[in-house]
Amino acid sequence: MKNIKVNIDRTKPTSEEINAGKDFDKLLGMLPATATVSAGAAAKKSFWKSGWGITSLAAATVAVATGVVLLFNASGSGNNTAGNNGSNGNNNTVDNVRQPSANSVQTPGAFIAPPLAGVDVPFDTYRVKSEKGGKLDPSSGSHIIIPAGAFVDNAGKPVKGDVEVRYRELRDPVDFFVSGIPMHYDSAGTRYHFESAGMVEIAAFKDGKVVYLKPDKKVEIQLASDNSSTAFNLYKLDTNARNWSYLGKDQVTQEQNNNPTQLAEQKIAAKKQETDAVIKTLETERDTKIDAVVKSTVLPDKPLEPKKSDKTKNRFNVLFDTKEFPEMANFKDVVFEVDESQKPFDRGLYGIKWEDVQLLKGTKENTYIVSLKKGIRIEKIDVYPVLAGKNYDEAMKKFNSQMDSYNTALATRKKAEEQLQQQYSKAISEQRAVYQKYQDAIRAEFQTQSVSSQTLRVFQVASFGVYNCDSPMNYPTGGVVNALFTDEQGKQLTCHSNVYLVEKGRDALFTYYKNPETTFRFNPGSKNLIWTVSNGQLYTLMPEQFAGMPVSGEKDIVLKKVEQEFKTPDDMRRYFGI
Amino acid sequence: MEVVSKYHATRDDMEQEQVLVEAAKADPARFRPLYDKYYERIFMYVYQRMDDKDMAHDVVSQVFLKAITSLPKYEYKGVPFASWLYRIAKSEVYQVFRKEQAHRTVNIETAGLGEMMEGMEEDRYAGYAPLLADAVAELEEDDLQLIEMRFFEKRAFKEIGEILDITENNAKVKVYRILERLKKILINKKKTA
Repeated sequence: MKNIKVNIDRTKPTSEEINAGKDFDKLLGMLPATATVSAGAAAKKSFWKSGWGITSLAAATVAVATGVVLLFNASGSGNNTAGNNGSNGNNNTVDNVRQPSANSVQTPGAFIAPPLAGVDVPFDTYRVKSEKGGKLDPSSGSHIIIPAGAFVDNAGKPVKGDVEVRYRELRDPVDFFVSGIPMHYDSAGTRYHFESAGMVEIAAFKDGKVVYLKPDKKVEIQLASDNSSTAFNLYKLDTNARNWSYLGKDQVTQEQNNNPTQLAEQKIAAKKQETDAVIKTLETERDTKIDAVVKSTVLPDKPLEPKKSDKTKNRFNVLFDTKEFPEMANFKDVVFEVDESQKPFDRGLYGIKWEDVQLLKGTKENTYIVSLKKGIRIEKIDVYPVLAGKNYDEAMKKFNSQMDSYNTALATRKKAEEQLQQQYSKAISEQRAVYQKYQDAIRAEFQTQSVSSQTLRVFQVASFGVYNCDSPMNYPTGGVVNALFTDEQGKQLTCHSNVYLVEKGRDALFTYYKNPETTFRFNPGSKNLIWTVSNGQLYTLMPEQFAGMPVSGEKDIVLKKVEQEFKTPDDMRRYFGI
Repeated sequence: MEVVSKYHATRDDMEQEQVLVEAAKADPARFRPLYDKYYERIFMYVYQRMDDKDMAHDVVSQVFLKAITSLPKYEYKGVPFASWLYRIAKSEVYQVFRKEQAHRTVNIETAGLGEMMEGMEEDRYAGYAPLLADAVAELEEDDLQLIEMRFFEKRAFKEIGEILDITENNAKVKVYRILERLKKILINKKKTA
C-alpha cells in the first residue's frame, strides 16, 4: 500500500486533548446546515475550533438537551416533589425502607465482583411513585431528586406505580475494595488511579426488572461530601467499555441548614452510635483475648495446706486413693479430725461396727466427709485431714514450695490479663475521648453559627449506574521495588484479585496486577497499607511492617493472614484503622 | 494469544442503549448520552489512522453529524450501536484520504508487534520484529484494517466482524491468512536485508 506513514509507539493523546474537540452543543448547531457543510477536514480553520454554527435553533435545542449531562444548578434542590398518595398510606411518594442486606443488586455487566464473599456496601432501598417522582434523603445528608414520569421500561414505555430505587454511597478504600468497583481509569492508553470525593451507585427496578430513565428526564444527585475541592472530575462507570467515562465537572455547593443545633445533635448521635459500636467490638476482643490467656496458661493445682493434728479432737483413720484425692498425695499417715464447728460429734458412733466407710469431697473447697454405712443407716461426718510431727513438717515444706510455684504462675497470668485490660481500657478511653472531643467541637462550631452548611457535590444523570467524583492520579512515587508477595510460610500468593495499596488518609485504592510485581511503586513518606485476597483469604501488611520497606531493589513482601472474619465494611475499617 | 476486547456489549447493554437511540431519533438533542459515551472511542479510532489531532477532531465531528442525520434510518440488528458508528467513521476517514486532505497513517505499538509474532506461532520469526513494521505498511488497506483492529486496537474478532460486517469466523480466517502472508514478506525481507 502506498503513501502510508508508520509511527512506532506514538505518544497517546491525553484525555484533555481528546475531549478538546468534544462539544455536543456546537454539533447540534451544525445540524440545520449539515447539507451545505463540506468535510470538516477541508475547512481552513479547524471545525471544532471554529465558533460558527451555533444558531438560535441550536440554542433552543440545547435547552432541551438530554443525556448523561452535568447540570450545574442546584436550584429546586430543596423542593420535595412528594405528592399526597404515599405508597405506604403516608403523605410522601417516597417510602424510605432501609434494606441493608440488599447486596443482590447486580450492576449491569458482571465485571464488578466483590472480592470478599458476603461483604459489600449495602444499598438503601426506596419506593418512588413513578408518576410523581420524589426526593430521597439518605442518612449521609445527600439528596436524590427524581422528577415525575422519570422511569421507562426496556421498550421505552413509561412505567407506572411504585418503582424500587436502590442507592448506595462509597467513600473510602474499604468501600471501593469490598464493592469490587474498579478505581482505575484508562485514558488514551495510560492507566490512572482515582482519588475520590465520593461515589454513588443508583439503580431502579419495577417488579424485579430493571427500569431506565426516560431520555428527557434527569435525576439530580446532591452528594454530601467532606471534600469541597473543585479539582475533581465526574465520571460514570461504563460497564460496556469496562472503563470510566469522563463527564466533566460536578458542581460544589454548600447546603445551608437553618437549624444548626438539630444538625449538630444528629451528627453527635451518629458519632456516638459509631463510637459505641467500636467500644463494643473492643470489649469483645478484650474478653476473647483474656479467655485465651486463661486457657493457654497452665496453672499447677493449688496445693492443700496441711494442718497439724490435735490429739484432743475426735478423729478417723480412713484409707483413700490418692488418685481420687491428689491434693493429699504428699500427706503421709494422714488422719481426719472431726469438724464440730457446725454439729457436735456423737462419740457413740465409734461403738458401731460399720459395714462401709468412704471418704467424700465436701461441698466447700478442701472439706471432706466421712460416710459411714450400716444397712440402711448412713452417717455423714464433716472432717479435715491432719498430720502429726515429722509428717506435718515435711508436708508443710512441700506445700510452701508448691505454693510458690502456684503463686508465680498465677501472677504471670494475672499480669497478662492486666496488660490486656490496660491496653483495651486505654483504647476504649481513647475512643470515648475522641467522641467527647468531637461532641465538644461540633457543639462549639454550631453554637457560633446561625446557620450551618454541608458540602454537596451536585450533578445530574440521565441513566442509572455508578458515578464517581474523582481526581485521576498516577501511582505513588518515591519507592519502586520488584516485589514478590508471599504468605508467612514463604509461599507465593496467587493474587487473582490483585494487590491493593492504601495510603492512609487518602480515599484512593492503588491496584497492582501481577505477583511478582516488577514495578511496585509507593510513597515511602506515606502511611502505607497493603492487602490482597488469595484463594478467598485476606492477607495484609500493616503500616508498621511496611515502614521498613526498601525504596528500590527486590523485596519479598510477606503478607500476614487476616484471621478475623469481616461481616461488614465497618468491621474491615475498624481492623485497618481506616 | 487471547485478545480480550473491552468493547464487548451484553444484550442488556444493547437494549438499554436502544432506549437512547429511539429517543434520539425523535429528538437529535437526545443523542447527547451516546455522543458522550462514544466520543473518545471514535476519536481514538480516527486518530489511530491519521497523524493530525485537529484533523481527527474534524473527522469525528463529521462522524457524529452523519450519525445524527442518518439516525432515523438506523435499525437495531442485535449488534452494538458502536459498530454502526465505527462504520461511519471508517467511511469518513477514507473520504478524507481520497480527497488527499490527510495521509494514511498506521500507528504501531511495539507490544502489538510482539503479539503478532506470537500469532505467527513461529519462534524463529522473533528476530524479524524490526522488519515487521515495514511489512505491515506494505499490506493492502483491507488487510491493514484487520491487523490494525486486531493487534493495535486489541479488538475481539466478534467486534471486528461487527464493524466490517463480516462474520466472526471470517474475521479470524482473514487475520490468519494475513499473518501467513506477513511471514512470507518477512522472510523475503530478511533475505534481502
